[in-house]
Amino acid sequence: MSLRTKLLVLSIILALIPLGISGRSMIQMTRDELKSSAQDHLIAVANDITRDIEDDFYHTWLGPLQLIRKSVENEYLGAKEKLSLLTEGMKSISGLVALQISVEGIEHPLFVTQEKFSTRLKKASLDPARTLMLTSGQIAALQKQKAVFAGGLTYLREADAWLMTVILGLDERTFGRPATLSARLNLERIKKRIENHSFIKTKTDAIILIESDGRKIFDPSRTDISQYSIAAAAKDRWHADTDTIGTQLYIGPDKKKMLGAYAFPSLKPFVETPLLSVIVEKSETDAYLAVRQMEQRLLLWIVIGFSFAVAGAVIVSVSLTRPLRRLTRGARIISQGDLSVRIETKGHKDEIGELSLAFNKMVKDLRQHMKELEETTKAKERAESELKLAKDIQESFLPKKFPELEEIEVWGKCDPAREVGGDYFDFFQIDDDHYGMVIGDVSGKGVPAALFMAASRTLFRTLISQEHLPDKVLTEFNDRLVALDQGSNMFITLFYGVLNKKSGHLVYSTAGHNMPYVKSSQDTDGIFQMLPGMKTMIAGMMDGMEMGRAEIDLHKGDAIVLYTDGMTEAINRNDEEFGEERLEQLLDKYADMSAREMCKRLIADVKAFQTGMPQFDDMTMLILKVK
Amino acid sequence: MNITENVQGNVHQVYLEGRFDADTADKVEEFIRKKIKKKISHFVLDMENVSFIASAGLRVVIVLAKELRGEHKGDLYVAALQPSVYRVFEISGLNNVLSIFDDTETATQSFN
Repeated sequence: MSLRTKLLVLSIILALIPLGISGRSMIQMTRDELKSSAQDHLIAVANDITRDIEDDFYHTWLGPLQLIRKSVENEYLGAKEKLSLLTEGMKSISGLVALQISVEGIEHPLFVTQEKFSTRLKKASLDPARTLMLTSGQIAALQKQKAVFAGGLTYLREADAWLMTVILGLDERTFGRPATLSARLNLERIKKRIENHSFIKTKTDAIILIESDGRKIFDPSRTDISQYSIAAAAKDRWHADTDTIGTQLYIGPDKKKMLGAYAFPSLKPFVETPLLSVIVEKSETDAYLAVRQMEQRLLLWIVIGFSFAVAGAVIVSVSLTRPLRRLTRGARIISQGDLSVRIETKGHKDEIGELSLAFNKMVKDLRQHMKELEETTKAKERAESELKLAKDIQESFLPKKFPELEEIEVWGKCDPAREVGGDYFDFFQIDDDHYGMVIGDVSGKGVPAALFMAASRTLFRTLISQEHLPDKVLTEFNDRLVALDQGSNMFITLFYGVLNKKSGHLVYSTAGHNMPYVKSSQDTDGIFQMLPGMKTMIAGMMDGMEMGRAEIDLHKGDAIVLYTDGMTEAINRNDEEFGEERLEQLLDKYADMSAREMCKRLIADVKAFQTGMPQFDDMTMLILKVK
Repeated sequence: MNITENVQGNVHQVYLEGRFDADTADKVEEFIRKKIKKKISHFVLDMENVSFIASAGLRVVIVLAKELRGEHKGDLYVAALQPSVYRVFEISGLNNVLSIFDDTETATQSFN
């Protein structure tokens, strides 16, 4: 997973958690709040209608009817006055369509009707008196000795009118026998009010009045809805003592979820049990419309918030990782060898910006170093090629081929510690019988030694053409060298010998050089021994020095080995010197080999000895054997 | 190469310890040249603890001895040489031009 993806996921999670939690609890809280407010609204409507009905009963109807009852109970009033009282009452009570005073045993009650309603009945071909007058039997059945009766809902289909009956008991003392005041009330008012209620807005909104048997009021077919969930709930609570009110969520007739509330208009203390129940219902969708809208709105905001969070996360992670990607790309380019990379650092003042700056500095330094390295390499290459040239020149000073002679066999080899060195050797013919052999060692090594060696060689070559005795040559050589070289403080050691190849007579001298090893059947018992020292001095330091001279006769099978101290002073890893003793032993061991083979073996042995150590000094050998 | 010094009168005794080769010769030369600059002209080079001398070492000894004898009316004596080192002096012929003593005490005394 890339850093960018990780950052993105982290940011989204960080944004999602609080957004999710707060959104969820907000939705929950608001939903509860709005739901309860929707229920409250239904209850309020049910209460409102209930109060209106109660108002009608108490103030419009029962109150005035009580007054009429009081009036007609006056024992001094005759039938005529009572009738006129009823007529007056009829006019003043709205919705009252018939009034009658019935006295037990008297067949005809005092009966008045509302003129307007009578006309309406007549239009519907109904006889007002027959329709509205209650028989004594009917009264008895309804009243059942109660002081006040209210109920007996009737639907006059022909006149499309809903009537209710109220029966009030009259004072027996006035009428001499039990008597009642009955009123027939037209419920048109209530019906209208319900039908036009502002609550009803859609087809599913309904305000229903039911009687205690579950039958609908104001429904011509008097449908029994006692099985209907909300009506059943109302029926259950019908006889409860306290004022009852309730709401319920249920499935409506057309499978719709409905929210309903019910309430009971109270006619206490005149009537104990409620006459009817008011049911108010609405489809849940409509009732909770606000809830749904709120939920949608909140959801929308959550989605918007989440989108912002995601966008923010993308921007942050991209802006954080973009410079890192640039760095990665830069590093990749560098690894391919292109050092012209530069990372854009503008606008980034954070740690990544610093990293970019450091990166740029690194690239710049790297470029600088590469340039320097290139220059150094060039200079080195130049020096190396010059050194190579110097090596070639120096090698041309040293003999590579040796004369194939009848009497003697000669071989020599120089192995410088560096490209060029300060060792020198030569083997040359002086006249028909005489041959010169020389070996030298300039103090120090490398280029200065090589230059000094070149100068010394020229000087030496000049001198041997003028002088034959080795000691004279070397004495003169020293004086000339001192005169030639003031200030370099370098010196050279030389061994110079002149051999008569016919007689084997060797005359030699040395200027501070190691004395050669000689194997002589006459003088050294056939083994290698170092020639004894003589008066000598290294050349180039002090003039006026006399070099000594010695002679020896070499015979068949004898040999002389010239060498430089690079051979004997070679050092191994244990800090031990190769030494003269070891050289001497090896010379004896290789004594029967050819001069060339001996040279090769001895140098190889010294090299093997100093394995793992740098070669400190030039190594040179010149071997001469008498055949 | 360790270099220590002991002053006795106007004679500076310089004790060397280790290999007197191309790598260490410069150190010895520099050490003594600093003294020469301070007008010191009498030295005894004690080489009792020098096991090996290379041509570079020889060069330093002869160059300094030459200089001290010439310009400063002084000298550099060499003392207490191990046999292998003495052999090198012998081969190179330096034993003929340098004053070589058995020990530093004798060398110092012979200055006076």
